[in-house]
Amino acid sequence: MMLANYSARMTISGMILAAIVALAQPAAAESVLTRGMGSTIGTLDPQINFLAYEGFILDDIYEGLVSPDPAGEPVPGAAETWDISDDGLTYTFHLRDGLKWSNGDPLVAQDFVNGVIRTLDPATASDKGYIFTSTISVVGAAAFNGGESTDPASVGVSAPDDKTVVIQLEKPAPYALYILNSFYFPPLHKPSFEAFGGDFIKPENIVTNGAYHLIENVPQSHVTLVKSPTYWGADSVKIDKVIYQITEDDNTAVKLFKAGEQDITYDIPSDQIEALTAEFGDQVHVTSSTETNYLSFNITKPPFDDIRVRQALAMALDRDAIINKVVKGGYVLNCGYVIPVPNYPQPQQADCAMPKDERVAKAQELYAEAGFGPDNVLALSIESSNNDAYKKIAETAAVMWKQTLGVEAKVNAQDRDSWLAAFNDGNWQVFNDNLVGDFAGPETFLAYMDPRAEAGYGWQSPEYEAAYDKAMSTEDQAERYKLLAEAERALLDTYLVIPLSSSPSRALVNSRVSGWVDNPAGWHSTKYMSVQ
Amino acid sequence: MPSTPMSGDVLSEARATNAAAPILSVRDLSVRFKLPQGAVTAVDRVSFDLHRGEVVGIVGESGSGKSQILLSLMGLLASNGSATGSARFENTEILGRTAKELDGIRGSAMSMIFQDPMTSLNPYMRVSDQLTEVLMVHQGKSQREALGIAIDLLDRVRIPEARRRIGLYPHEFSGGMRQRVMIAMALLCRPSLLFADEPTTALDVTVQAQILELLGELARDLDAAVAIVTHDLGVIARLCDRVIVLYGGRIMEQGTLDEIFYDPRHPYTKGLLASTPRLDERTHGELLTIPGQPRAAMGDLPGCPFSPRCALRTAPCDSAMPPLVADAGGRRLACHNSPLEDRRP
Amino acid sequence: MFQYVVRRTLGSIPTLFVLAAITFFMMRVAPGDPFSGNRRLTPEVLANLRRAFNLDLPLWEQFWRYIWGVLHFDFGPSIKNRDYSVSELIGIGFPTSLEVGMWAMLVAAIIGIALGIAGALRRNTSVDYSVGAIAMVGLAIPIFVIGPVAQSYFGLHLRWLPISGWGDSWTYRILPVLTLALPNIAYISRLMRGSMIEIMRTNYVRTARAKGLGERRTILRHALKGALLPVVAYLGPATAITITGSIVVEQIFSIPGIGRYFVDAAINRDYPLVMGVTLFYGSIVIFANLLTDIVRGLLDPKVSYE
Repeated sequence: MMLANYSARMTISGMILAAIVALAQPAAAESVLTRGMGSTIGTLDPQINFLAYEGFILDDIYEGLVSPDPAGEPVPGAAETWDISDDGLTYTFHLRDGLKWSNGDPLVAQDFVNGVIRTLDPATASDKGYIFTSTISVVGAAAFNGGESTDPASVGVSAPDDKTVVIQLEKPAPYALYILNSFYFPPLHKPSFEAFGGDFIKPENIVTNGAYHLIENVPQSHVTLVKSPTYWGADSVKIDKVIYQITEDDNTAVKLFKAGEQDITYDIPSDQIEALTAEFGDQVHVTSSTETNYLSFNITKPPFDDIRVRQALAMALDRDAIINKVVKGGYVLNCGYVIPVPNYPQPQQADCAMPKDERVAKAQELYAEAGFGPDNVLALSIESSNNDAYKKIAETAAVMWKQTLGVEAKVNAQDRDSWLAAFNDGNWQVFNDNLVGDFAGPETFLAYMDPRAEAGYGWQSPEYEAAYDKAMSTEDQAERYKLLAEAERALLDTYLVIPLSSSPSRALVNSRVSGWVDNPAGWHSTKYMSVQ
Repeated sequence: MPSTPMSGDVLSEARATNAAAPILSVRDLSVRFKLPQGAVTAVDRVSFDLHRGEVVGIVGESGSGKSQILLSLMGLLASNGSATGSARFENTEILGRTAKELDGIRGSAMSMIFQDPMTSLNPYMRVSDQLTEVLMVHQGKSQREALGIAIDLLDRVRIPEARRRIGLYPHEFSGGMRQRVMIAMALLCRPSLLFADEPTTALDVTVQAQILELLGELARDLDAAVAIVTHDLGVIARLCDRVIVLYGGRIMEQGTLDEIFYDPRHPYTKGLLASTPRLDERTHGELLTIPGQPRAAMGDLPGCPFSPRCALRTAPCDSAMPPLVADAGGRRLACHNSPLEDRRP
Repeated sequence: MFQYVVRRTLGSIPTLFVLAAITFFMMRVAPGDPFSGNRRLTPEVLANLRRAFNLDLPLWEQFWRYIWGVLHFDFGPSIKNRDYSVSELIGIGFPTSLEVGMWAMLVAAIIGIALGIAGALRRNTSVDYSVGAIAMVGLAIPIFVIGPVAQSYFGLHLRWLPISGWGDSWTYRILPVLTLALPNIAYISRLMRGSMIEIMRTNYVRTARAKGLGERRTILRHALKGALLPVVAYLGPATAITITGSIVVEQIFSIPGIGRYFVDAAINRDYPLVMGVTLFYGSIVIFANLLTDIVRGLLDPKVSYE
C-alpha cells in the first residue's frame, strides 16, 4: 500500500525534479554562486554528517525548526512561533502553514521527530547524538542513544499534531534555540529513507526541505544545488544556483578566487593572509571561530597536581608572543577559556595582566617553591597534533619553559587520532588542547568543562557546579552570562588550563557577493546572499 | 673526397688492372689514443702489404697494438683514438674516411671476424636476421633471396640442419657454431679483404683446429686477402703464409712462415718461439719465458720498445729506434744487434 | 605463455593474502580508531559505534570476516565516507587516476626515451647537457613546487589552461599530466642514456658497424632493443605507482582520483578503506610486474618461461 502511494509520490517528485532541473539550465540572468568546500565530503546524510563544510550544504538544503540568520542568531525557520514553559523544560514549536518537501509531500511535525529518533538510534551509528544527550538533555535521549531503551516514544520529542513539535528537557537549556537548526535537527523524509536506505541522499533520490535542492554530487569534485520552488521563503531567495567545489589545496583555492572562478573560499593559507589583505582588502575575512585553544594539565599526575607548578608554567609563557608573533594566521589571543562572545563578561586568567618582568619573576618563584630548580629539573611532555599552528604553539611553549624555568619539555607531535588516543589513555602530562563549541555561546564551552561531564580532566569544583547550575536556570541572558562568568572564573583560577587563543575562521569573499556576515559559528546560508 | 659509400664498379675495375699488385697497402700507420693522462701511441708507423690469396698473420702479446691495426683499417676505433698514415685498399685511401663513406665497403668488400662470438653477435636478434640484413643492405636482396644465400653459406661452414637452425638466437648455438656463424656473416658478400681478430682464442682447443681449417678453405675459395691477428703461434703455423711480429706497436720482424719459424732473427721472435711448448720436444722443468712484462704504449719512448727485456741490449737500443731494414727477398728486421745479412747456412 | 600467466596469477594469491594480513594487523597497532576523533561521545555511544562496524569482535574474527567478504568481492563500507562502499569509492576514483597516470607514463616514456637516446648519441655536446639539465630539474624540483608554479603561470596568469578540476575537456589534463610526467621524464632519460651508452659500446654493436649497416640501422635495429630493457624494467613498477594516483597532483589540481585515499584513510583510521586500497594497489603492482616480465621476455630471447 505504502509502496503504491510512494510510487505515485515519486512520479510527482520526478516531475518536480524535472522542473527543478529545467530551472537549473543556464537561463538568462541566472545567478550562480561558487563556494569552496575544502576536503572531500564524508557524508551528506543529515543525521550522520559532522564536518563543518558538509554543514554548509546541509544548511542550504534542509531547514530546522529555527534557522540561523546571517549573523548566526536563531530566527523562525520551519517553525513560525514557539512557546517555552516557565520552568524552561518544555519547548512547543508551531510549524508554518503549507510546508512542503521538495517532492511536494507535506512537511509535518512528525518528520522532525523522526529525524531526532534516527540521530539517536544506535543502529544509525551517528556521532551527532550527543547534541541531545549532552549539549541539551532531552528526556530519555541518553538511554535511547546508549541502547538501554529501544522505545522511540520514551524520547522527549513528540508531534501531538501535524503542526506541533514538543521537546521535553531534563534540565533547562536557555540556549537551546541555537541548536535546533538544520545541522543538528534536520527533519527526515521517512518514505525515501525506507525505500532507498543509505542511498536516500543520492541526487536521484534525495528529498529536501530547504531553500535549495541537491541535483548533482560528483565525489571529490563538486556538489550542485539549485533554488527549490517548494521552499516557503522562495521569493526572497536570490541566488539560483550554488556550486560547492572541493578544493583540498588552499593555494589552489586562492588561485581560483583570483581567477574569479570561486566566489567564496573555504579557508585562507595562513602565510598568505598579509599579501591577500594588501591585494584584496575587505574581501579577506578573518574572524574568531567557535574553537578555543589551550594547554591542559593532567592534575591526576604529580607534579601537575600542585597548583604552584601549573601557575609557574602558565606565567612562564609570553602568550602574546606565541599567538601574535609565532602562530599568527588570524589566531586571536584569548586569556579566557570561552571564545569571545558579545555581551559576555569574559574573565581573564590572572597572570595575563601582569607586566612581563613581574610575571616571569613570579613564575620562577613558584617553580622553586614547588621544589624544582637546576638540581631538580622538571621534565614533561606535551601531546600535540601535527597541525601546523598547534605544533607551533607546543614548540614555542616548550622553548619558553626551557628558557624561563629550565624545564625539559618534549613535544610529541602526532597525527590526529594518535593525539586524541593519548588523551583518552590518561597517561599524558600536558595536552595541547582544543574545544569546538556547538554554537557561539559560553554555555557550550562551560558545559564541556563541567566536572560532572567527565570530559577526562579529573577535576572537582563545587563553586563551578553551583554557578553553572544557577546559570542554566536563568532565562535572562545578561544574568545568565554573569553567572557563567563566575563558573569560568573558578576554572581559570585553578590553572587546570592555560587558555591561549581562539582559532580563526577565514574566507575570501568576492565583493560581488552580498549577505555575508562574519560570525563565529560560521553560519553563512546561501539563501541570504545575492550576487551582482 | 666525396662522402659517399664506395661503389662496387670502381673496385672491380681496380681489381682487373692490378692483378699482382697488393690489394691493401698500409704505410706508416700509427694509432694514438687520447687519455686523461696524456696521449698514448698504440701502433707506431706500421707498414705492410696484403695480396689476394695470401694469409698474413700478425703476432704479438696483448697490448702490442695488433688488434688496433685491424680496427683502424675498418674504421672502428674508439672515439678517443685516431689513425694517421695511409692505407690504400684497391688504390683508394680508406684511412681517415667517415663512417658513412666506409659503410659501402665494410661488410661487403672488406669484412672482419671478431674474437668472441658470444658477445659479438647480437643476443636479441635471430641469426637469420643478422645474416640477411647484410645482403639486404649491401646488395639490395629481398628477405627471401637473402635467406636462401645465408642458409647455403651456413651449410658451407658446416652447421648441421642450417635451415632449421638459422631462425635461432645466438645463445642457442655452441661456441664453435657461433664462430662459424660469424665467419659466414663476414663472407656473405664475398669480400676480397678479410680481417680476423683472434678468431679461435675464445674457443675450445678441439674446435680451434676445425675453425682454422674452415677459414683457410673459404679464404682460398674467394681468393681473398686475409690478415689474422693472434698471439698464438700455433694458429700462425697452421694458417699463415707470411708473419708479421709486432711488439710495442712496432714491427720487429717480418718474413715468410718458414723464415720466421726456422730462422728467426729478432731476439723477441726467438724468445717467442722458445717459450712456445712443442709436442715434439721434451722439456725438463719449467717453460721458458721472456723475462719482464710488456708495457702499453711503448711507442712513445725513444729507442727499441723491447730493449728492457732484451738479452742483446746495448746502449743504442735505449736511445734510438732501430730502423726496419728489408732485404731483397722481402724479409724485414728491426734490431741494432741482429743484422739481416747474418744467415745461417 | 598462457600457463606462465596463469601460474603467476595463482601465485599472487598468497602474496595478496599476506599483504592483507600484515596491513590489517599493522593498522590496528596505531593508536585510536575510526571514532576516537570525537571527544563528545560517551563510552556507551562509542561502544555502539564500534559494534555497528564489528570493531568489538576479536581481531582474528574481524580479519576472517574481512577475507570472507573479499572472496565475495565485498570490500566493506567506508567508515568515513558513509555514502559509499569501498568498492564504489575505488570504482569511481580509479578511472580518473588511471587516466592521468597512463597519460603521464606514456608522455614520460616517449619523451624520456627520445631524450635519452639523443643524449647518448650526442655525448658531451650541448644536446647532451640540455638533456641532463632537464633531468636535473625534473628530479630535483619536487612535484609540489612544479605543480603550483605551472598552475599559477598557465592557469592564473596566462589563462590558457584551467587552474584545477576535472572535466571532459582535454585542457584539464595537460597540467596534471605534465607535472606528473616530469620527474619520470627525468629519470627515464637518464636511465635510457646510460643504458644506450653502455649498449653502444658492446661488441655486437661494433659488429653491426663492421657490417657496414649504417648508423641509423645500427641504432634502431641493434642497439635499441637491448638498451630498452632496463627502462622496461623500471616502467612496470613506476606505472603501477603512477596510475594509483599521486596524492600531491590530485590534491593540487583537485582531481577526483584515489590517491588521497591512501593517506586520508590511514589518518582517519578508516580500516576497510585502507585494506581496500592496499589490496587494490598490491594487485596493480603484481599485474604491472607480470606485464613487465612478459615484455622483457618478448625483448630478451634468453628469458624463458619455465
